[in-house]
Amino acid sequence: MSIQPGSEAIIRTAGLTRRYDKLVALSELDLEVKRGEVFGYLGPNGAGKTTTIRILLDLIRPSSGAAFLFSLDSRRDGLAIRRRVGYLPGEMALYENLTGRQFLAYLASLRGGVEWAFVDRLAERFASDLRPRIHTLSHGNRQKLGLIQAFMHRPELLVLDEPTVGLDPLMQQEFYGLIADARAAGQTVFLSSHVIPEIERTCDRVGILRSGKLITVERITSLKAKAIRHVEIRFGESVPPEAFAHLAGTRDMVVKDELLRCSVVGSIDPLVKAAARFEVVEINSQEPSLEELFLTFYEPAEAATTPEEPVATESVASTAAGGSSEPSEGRDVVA
Amino acid sequence: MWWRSVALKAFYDQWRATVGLAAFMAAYAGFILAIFPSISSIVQIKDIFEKLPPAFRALFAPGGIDITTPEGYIATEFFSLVGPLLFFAYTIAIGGSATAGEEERGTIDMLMAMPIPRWRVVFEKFLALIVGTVLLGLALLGGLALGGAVAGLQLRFDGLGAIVVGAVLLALLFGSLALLLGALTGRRTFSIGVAFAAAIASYFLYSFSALVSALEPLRPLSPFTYYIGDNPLVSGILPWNVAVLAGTTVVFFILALVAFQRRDLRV
Repeated sequence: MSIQPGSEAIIRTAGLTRRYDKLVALSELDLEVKRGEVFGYLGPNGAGKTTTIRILLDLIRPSSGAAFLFSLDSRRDGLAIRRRVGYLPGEMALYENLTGRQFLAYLASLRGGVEWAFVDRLAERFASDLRPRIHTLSHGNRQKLGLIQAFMHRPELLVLDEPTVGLDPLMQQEFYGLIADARAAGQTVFLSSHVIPEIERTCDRVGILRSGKLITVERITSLKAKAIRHVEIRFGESVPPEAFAHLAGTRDMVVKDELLRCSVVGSIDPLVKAAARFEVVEINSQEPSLEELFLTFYEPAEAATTPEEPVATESVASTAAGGSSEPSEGRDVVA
Repeated sequence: MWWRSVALKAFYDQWRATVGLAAFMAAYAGFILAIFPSISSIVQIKDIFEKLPPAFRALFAPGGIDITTPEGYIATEFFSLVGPLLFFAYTIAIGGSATAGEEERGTIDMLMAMPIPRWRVVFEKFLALIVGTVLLGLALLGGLALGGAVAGLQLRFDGLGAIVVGAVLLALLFGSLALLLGALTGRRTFSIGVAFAAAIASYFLYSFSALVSALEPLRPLSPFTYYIGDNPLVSGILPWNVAVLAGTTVVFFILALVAFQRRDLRV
């Protein structure tokens, strides 16, 4: 990854490795997050996201390698680090017997006090009632309490492990607004997720993690350029397959009568332009799963063997029937 | 005010258990003491007692306690087993839950993401346990005073005070053992179970070592020896016994601090 000169690293890990007996949860992680950046940490469940985050907060210790936050060693200077970090755990558990307000008051005093007016503002923003006892709250309302405690001392760095799990769409929007405000205030955000759109919505850069290994770090814009979409177009008439052959960025093209199905990498524009010559009844576009993203970009050879991808299987079947598509054609265009 | 520190919150969390158990212990011990005059007037306890096989005598009235006095009677009836068990239930359950409870519930992640060192969580929680256990001891003495007053007994509180101090120290010893096991493993039920088993084993080791000469050399290994072995009703608080009980507790406590500081916290 490219590090711009003069930009200060808020998080830096060097060869960070964590083994559990023989299982390698995290392998030789080299990561750098710069001040003011909103960094997405993307990976399927079990990829090592939470392991990384818990090492950053010194909740667990690395088998080898080191992590630095604010250029401080995560193991030696944990106290100084945690003073400047707001953390939302992935599987958050709260003190069930306390009310929201008591819970926040407890964490606030362990932090040496926070500005309570700001806590009230956060609670208002999330429409979070702090009076009832936590054991009576829904999952979403607990998650809000978790977010409030992470933000309440206005930390320089926010480490959020799967922050929108359990939030309803309205509150997700509120969360995106909170991240935007954090960005505007110059706070750094490290956000883990297994959902691509969430990362696309909020982040500047994304690190993609799989089976404990960092596969790539890229700008969201370049991730979007690579993003693969499943497109289905229904025409008002039967269309000739030749009209859609050799379109840039398309793969697994299947055209049968009035229905077109394909995957599009990057810009959807060439396909739309080609389709515009006919009467279009309906266009459906579907975001790919994370697993598919990996298969497409990082292990293309295995793409055909993915079993849980109904769209792909179906198109192979139709290919045999229609005999008019060239599945391997589009892949060359990807680069 | 209860949310100011880990210790205060820990005390808040154990508040109900403390009040409930304190009331029960005070009432129970006070009641047993209050019926002493009627019992001793109906039966000649000493006669019955001396007819018992030595094994039973050792179990019920350890350390040559004179059970014809009200103090000896309550020491035998309450402080030889039931009292310690009640104290253990409190200190072992709370000690074993101190950090391991938060690990099992999963609240430890958020707590330890705060800018406080791990050792301080162990320290403050143990502090709350000490305060709670001392309150139990005071309530117990209050219950005994009340029971004695109801029965019109002239109690000598130097001996009773000594035995309550011993009980508190003994309970804290096993509480700190549970704390240590919890800090080492992060497993609450395991820690409570093992500490309780150790407490029971040490009771039987103490009792049987008085009967079986083969076990006699093992006697110093049982913490009960330092609690009741020297008949605290007569000899009062012996510095050596206090040092052994408190010293062992301090060792367990320090090991717990170190263990918790070093370990990976459970998810």
